[in-house]
Amino acid sequence: MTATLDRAFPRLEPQHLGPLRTRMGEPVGSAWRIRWRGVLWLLPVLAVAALVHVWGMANYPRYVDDPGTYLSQAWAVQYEHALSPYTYFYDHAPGGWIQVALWSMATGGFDRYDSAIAFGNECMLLAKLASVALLFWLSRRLGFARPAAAATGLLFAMSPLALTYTRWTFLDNLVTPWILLAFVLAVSRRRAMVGVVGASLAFGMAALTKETSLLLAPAFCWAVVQYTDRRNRPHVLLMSGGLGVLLMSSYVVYALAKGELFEGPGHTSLLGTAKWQLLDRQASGSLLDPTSSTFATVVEWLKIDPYLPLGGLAVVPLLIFVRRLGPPACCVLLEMAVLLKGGYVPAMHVVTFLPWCAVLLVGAVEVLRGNPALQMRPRSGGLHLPSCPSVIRIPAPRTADHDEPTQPTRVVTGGAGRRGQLVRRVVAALVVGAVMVPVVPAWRSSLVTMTTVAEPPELAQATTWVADNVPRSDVVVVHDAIWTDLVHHLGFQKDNVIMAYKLDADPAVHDRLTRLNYLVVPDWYYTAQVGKYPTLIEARDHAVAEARFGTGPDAVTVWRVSRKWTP
Amino acid sequence: MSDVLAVLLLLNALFMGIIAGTTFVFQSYKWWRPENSDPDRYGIPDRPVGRGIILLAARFEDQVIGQTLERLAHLNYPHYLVAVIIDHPDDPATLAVARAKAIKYPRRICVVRYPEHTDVHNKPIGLNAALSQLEAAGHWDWHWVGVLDAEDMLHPDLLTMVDFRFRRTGAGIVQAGVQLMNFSSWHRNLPLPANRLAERWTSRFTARPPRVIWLLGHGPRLLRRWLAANTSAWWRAANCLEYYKWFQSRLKVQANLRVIPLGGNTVFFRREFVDHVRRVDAEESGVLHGKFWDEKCLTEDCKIGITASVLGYLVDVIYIPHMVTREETPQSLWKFVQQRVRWDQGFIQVFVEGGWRRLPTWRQRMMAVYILGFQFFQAYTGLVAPLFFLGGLVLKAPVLVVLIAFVPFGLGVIGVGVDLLLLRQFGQTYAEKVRLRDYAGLVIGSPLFQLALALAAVMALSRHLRGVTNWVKTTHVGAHMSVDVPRARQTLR
Repeated sequence: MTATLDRAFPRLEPQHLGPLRTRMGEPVGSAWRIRWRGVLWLLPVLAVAALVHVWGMANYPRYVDDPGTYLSQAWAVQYEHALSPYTYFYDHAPGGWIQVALWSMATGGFDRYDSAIAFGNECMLLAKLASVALLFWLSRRLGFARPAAAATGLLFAMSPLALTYTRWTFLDNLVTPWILLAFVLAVSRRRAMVGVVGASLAFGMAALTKETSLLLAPAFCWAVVQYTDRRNRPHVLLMSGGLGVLLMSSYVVYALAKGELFEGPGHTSLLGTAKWQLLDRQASGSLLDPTSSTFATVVEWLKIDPYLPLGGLAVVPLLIFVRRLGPPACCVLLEMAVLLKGGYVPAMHVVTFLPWCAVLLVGAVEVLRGNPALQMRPRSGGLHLPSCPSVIRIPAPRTADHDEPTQPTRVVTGGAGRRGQLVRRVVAALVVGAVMVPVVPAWRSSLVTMTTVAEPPELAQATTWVADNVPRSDVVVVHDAIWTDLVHHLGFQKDNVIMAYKLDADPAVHDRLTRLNYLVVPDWYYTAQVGKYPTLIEARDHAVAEARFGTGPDAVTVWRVSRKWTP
Repeated sequence: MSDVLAVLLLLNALFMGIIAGTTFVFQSYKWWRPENSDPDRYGIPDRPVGRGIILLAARFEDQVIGQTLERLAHLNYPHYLVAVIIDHPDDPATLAVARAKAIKYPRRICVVRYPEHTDVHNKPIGLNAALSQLEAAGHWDWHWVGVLDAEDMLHPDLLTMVDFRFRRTGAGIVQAGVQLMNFSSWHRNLPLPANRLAERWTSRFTARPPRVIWLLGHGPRLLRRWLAANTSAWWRAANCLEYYKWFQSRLKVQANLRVIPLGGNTVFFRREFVDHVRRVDAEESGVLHGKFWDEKCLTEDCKIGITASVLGYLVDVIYIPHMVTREETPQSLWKFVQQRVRWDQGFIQVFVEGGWRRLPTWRQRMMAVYILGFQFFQAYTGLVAPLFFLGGLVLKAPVLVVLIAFVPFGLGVIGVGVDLLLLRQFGQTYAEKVRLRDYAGLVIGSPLFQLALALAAVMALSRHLRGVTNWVKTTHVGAHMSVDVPRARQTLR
């Protein structure tokens, strides 16, 4: 009795409310506070990336089909509330151009520029900057030092190959930030459910932007499982997986609501197109086959820049065993697997490949210099004790409820690694220096070329000619890249401007066709594989050339079709 | 016109999305961060200090109360007194059992009278009477008071933990976990129903039935038990999981947001808080001695929780699997609906009374509306969301409407997935075998369960509008303690 009486039961007073954050256990904001030292490293990288990207982006690279298609679809979303100016046939998930359309709606994007391609370029610039910032952030979360994280961003910003492909308005360029965001959120050391849910929603957005990003799902799952805690893993996986799938399945629900999920007569269908894309479409062949078009594509890439992709690939065997770099290495492997398997490989496939190469290249240097966070062997218990530094801080165990956080523990490890550390740093510096000797001049000359093309693209010149010479009531067959300009800026009727490949591919277009007046497409259309553009070629046979811009296969000839000929 | 309709549909979908979303966020609190489910998150209790009173309101509980009191007399805690509240003339059977225990354990158990001046029987009247009588009898020197139900098998170490949490967190109330246990479709967990043929023989011939007759009657009773177990498992499992989610996650979030309806039992109040409540009640009703619990409220537990937030007392919620108070699900689906009707109606009462409007911050007031209305929002969403989405698909509604209706529907589907995972963890935690048909029942039964909840909500609303406020008591047969209470099993026949 006396033993209990000497400790009094404390008095109780009603309490005033503390702030919500502290009541919820842990300051919610701490994970999101801005780390100024990181920002100081990131800002110059962003500035360089923006400069390199913007400088000459109007004239290089030349116009290709897809940007025009996506921009016309974004235009249709904004002005016609439809997913495509033509029949939407589920060729890609619509998330990408809906995002472009939303940006345009918010800022009047299509009105701000003379050409839709220029607006697309702006979108790509924003996506690029977001990607570079997220690459920096991801590198930091993977444990890179700040200079290394900055180098990761710089590699992606300066690689001529990355520059070429990120300037084009491709869906893949919109995928990159979402994928990187997904990994950034997944690779959180707080192991909170909200992070993983955010990650899988970001991954879902990537899949809605372009369904090919599902290819990286295994690597993403690996990252998620690696960075979740035993104590809440089943729930975190279920919730995040469920919500991610929920987001992605909105695409299926859209098709279902339109009655276009299953194949049927008289309408396009999601499953029908998917079947065609996965099974029936002509494969590009394997990389191992030198006659395949995949091989040609890869050679094309390597001509622009061999260092980043090959370098990234070269360090994969080393880094796949480094615990934290496993998932990024897995990304590269998955992308490679597609090239080797020989499905349909479009040229822009390289876009989602390059950020991971940048991470891995810098990661290899980090491993070489002895970064304590990047170790070969996984340690049990989730605590990564580095071998080299002499003092580390182990964060205090956090408990829920109202407990006060205890002080972090400082563990002093043996200082024996200090000399070894110095050696490793010197070696790493030498390797970096040696690599830079060939890379810097090569990249410099490529970048100079890419930023100093003076002549506007042939199609842009042709557009100017059309604006000056073609009556607005005429029916014009155009390349995708200038479709939106003719409709939005030059006052042509939407139905009177026809994308060349829709002539034969879209039955709705073919049915309402009564006449053609002008053909404005690059010359390679007429030499493309036999039977791809029959109507176009037949029309050309009944036409006279009115104007010609540029030389070679990219040259654009404006043909005026005879009024006596009807398709 | 169609625009107005579309806007209404969108608002409806938005509302359901918010309800479904917040349900998710709240019910997963335990898994927000790994620390939230750390086994040692409550700390390790030291030597207990406080003196406690345990109130146990019993009415027609003679089947289970002996067992309960026997357990309560042997808790690992130095200073406590159990007061059993029984209406003496009304309930002699329970009184006899309780009195025997009080004589057996005079230092631990005492029996107090339910007030004779009223015909109304409800828990708050009993609790108030008990505290007043104890005070009159000189038992005024206590630090905290706990409320139990007659069938609650308290863990021997729980009081030590409660005492520790009181001192560690500075909370005015500690709500300990309560868990419904009998989820399973396993028929042997249920008591056998009567052998009707044998009984009829006995009553007609006043003799023991021959073995043949007994065996003939035995087959149907096995079948009846099997059917009873397999046809009720779906809602029992859902009901058990509700508690599982409620006490592990939801109540904790609400305690942190400081708007919390408490559970009806295994809840412990500090002396200062209880006195404060009485003082406030005395001031408001202008009498010398106020009441502790609101005697007119159907859910006095909910009300006192809101009062705690108004007066600025913290609530601590502890759910430690081996220490939870194990309870049984209602006997039948209809009883379950009735119980839910009472809760829903009590929530309406608390809402209409408007005590929540005195909560200090607007955020708390908003939360109060959300929490008091939650049963109704949940019932509405659970019922309407699937209809809305599937109807939209079938009737070819505009694509945007279908897409938005898909969100609450999809969240509902994930919710069923989470329930399956929880059922698995539930089985692991309590070492109960979860059978495939239990999972199947949970999935197939989930829309029906929503239907039952919706029915209860509608009935509660209608009772409230008609002004019917009598108390429908939940009967206890001790299914959750069937293993160690052979007596309870026998009396069922």
